Amino acid sequence: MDVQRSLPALAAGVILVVSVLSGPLFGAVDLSPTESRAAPGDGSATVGVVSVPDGGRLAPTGYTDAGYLLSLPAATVRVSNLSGNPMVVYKLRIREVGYVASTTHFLGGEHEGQQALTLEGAVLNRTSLPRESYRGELLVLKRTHEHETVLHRGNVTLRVDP
Amino acid sequence: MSVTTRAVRPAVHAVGRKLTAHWVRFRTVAFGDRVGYTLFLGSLAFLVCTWRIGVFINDTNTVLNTLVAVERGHLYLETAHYGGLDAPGTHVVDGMVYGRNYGQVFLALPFLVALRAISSIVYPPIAIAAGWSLLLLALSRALGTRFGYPRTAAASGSLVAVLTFGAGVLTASPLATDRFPVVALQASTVVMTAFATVVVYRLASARTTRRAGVAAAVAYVVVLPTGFWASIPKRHALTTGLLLVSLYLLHRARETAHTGNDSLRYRAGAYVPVGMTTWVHAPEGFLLLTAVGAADLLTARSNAPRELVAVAGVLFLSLVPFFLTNYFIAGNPIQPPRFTPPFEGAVTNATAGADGGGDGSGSTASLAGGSILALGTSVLEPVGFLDRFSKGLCVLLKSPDRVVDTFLLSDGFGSDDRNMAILESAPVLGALVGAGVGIRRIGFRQTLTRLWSDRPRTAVDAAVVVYASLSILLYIPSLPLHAQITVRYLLPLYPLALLAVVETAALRSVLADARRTLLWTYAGVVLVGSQLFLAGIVLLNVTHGGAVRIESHLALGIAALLAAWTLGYSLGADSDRSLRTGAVLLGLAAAAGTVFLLVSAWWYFPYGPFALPFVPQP
Repeated sequence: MDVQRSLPALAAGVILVVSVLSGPLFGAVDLSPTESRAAPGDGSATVGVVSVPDGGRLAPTGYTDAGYLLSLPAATVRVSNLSGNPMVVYKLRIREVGYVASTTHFLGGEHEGQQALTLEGAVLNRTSLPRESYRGELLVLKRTHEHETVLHRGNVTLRVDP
Repeated sequence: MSVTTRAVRPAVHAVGRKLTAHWVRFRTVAFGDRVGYTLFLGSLAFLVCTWRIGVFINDTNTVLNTLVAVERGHLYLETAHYGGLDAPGTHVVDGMVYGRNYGQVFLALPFLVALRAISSIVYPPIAIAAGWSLLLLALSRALGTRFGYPRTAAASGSLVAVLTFGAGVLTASPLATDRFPVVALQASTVVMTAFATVVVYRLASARTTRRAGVAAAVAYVVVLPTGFWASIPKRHALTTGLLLVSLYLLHRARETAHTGNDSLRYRAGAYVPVGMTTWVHAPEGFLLLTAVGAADLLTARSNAPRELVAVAGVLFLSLVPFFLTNYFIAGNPIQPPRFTPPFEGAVTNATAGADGGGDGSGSTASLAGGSILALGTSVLEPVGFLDRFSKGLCVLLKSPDRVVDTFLLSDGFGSDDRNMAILESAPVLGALVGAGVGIRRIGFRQTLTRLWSDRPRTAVDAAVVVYASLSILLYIPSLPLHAQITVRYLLPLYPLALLAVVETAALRSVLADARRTLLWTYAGVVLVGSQLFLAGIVLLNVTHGGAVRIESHLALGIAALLAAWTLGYSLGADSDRSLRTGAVLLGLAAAAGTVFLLVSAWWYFPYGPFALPFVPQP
């Protein structure tokens, strides 16, 4: 009868004891923390630009005065000799409206070979864009150990949807 | 416990009794009563199930970098362990880079310290599994006592706890050391949400009935998007929880049973969350101060100097950590880090809303850096707020499309958009339609008189109305927004609306007379409906965005039916059959919320491994 009443204490005891026995002090199982991945930006890779888009679109978000959604096709790069966790930055600057958007891609892990660089969720917060198209500067940068290499710099045309 | 107490001497008995007394006192202060304690355990157990360890939105990287810096004993950021130093929300003062949300970081710090300490004895994945199993055990005991079958509950709870723990040990995989701060930060918001659940219970049951209080608390964690944002460590879970604490203390301060010093203690206590919220995110602290301050001063029995001095003193003390942080960063106690120049980094220029970062969905530097910054260089500069509020008013009046898309029906940003409007993410709020009619039926004037005679209610209602209006005005110029999922900027509105829903006559009759129908509908849809839904979207190869759209259309349909029913009910269609219909609709609406929480945790947003190792990855 009383066994039933003391079951919770027993269960809690079993859980606690097994937790400690499996822990680093006794080491019944080995779950020692894995080393953290290399800090973002530490590492190296050979990155070659395969293709970049020559244009993109600026489409109104559909809300009054709520800006424009920037869509730019992905660029493609080829990554080799990867070690650590270097970064590749895909960046667009539209000087005429003072706008910069960039997405940082981390190459850590299994990102060798052909990789697509996307520009994510960029919204241009301007109430209106008077011109039909804008010229943007497209950059692909590699960033390792606080050091930046420009892999590509070129112009793109951004068409404004009515 | 019983094994030991039976065998040993009275001295130990005495210690045991003392401990029990301490525990009961603690439980009363923290959770109110046994029911509150049970709700805390239950909501924590549920939230841990949906918890994925990882970074969902890359603003969190900044908070994580800040947490690592603070753990090392300084406020500035040295290196970016998460994302880049230029992640949204970093700021630069005198060449040093600073983070954000320091209040949130200091709240998470004890969790990180505890995790590091525990990890030298128990591996963290095992500790999480063990913690969760013990939680189940405690929950089963609490439920067993509550419903009168303690023995069965104790036995089955023990069995389930040991089995789940065994499954956890067998499936656990190592946790990288760089995940420790992530786990700590997420744990802090999960615990805060579970605690807020208890506050919802206490506030709603103090205002209505205990049953309605329980319903509101359960809804807070398993039905509303507040459950969704629990393990995503943004500021929203915290500021929403703090708002609720403040409202609850305001209610207590006005209760007639508490007079004199007791009342003053609660009254001053209601201002403590103001300082804490300001430390997390200054503009929301200002909103809370305005709402609670206005409601409190207007409805107080006495605004004698003694009382006001006490209130002001407590408010000032609660702001001290905030002032200190600002002083150390900007050299000016009233200039929060967010209002110092943004860190532009080597790469990103934050002139407009673009984010760096590879994982999670994008986020919004536009609000973080741009327009809120325009509020002025200090929270104490009301002109900035007035400007922002008038802008909000402009949007409300001139852009009905944006208002509709924020509150009713989200149009979406692009094809794979996963954002929902408020009603779409919480169809239970459809029940509010009837509330308006209810007021009309009683008569507006009578409602007002009734309000005035019920001081706790008036005070809390006034604070709710002010807070809701100001937060809409503050944020609507930036809404709708990509990467908001469930209009997270307005997260506090969900529990505030919930408080109103549980007061409607319609809901109270359903809870009183058609509980069974409600529960069976809810359980059936959650257990069977969620699986059918998942199977459907997997088999038909629907994109995540598409699935969210289907779900939100269903939710909207249910909300409309529920609204129509509450309308009919408050106009007099209150037969038995009508009540059962209402119970079914309410069950459907609640289930829609839960299905979203489950499917989004499991399917839509796989941003990391589950904290419970045995939950299978899709």
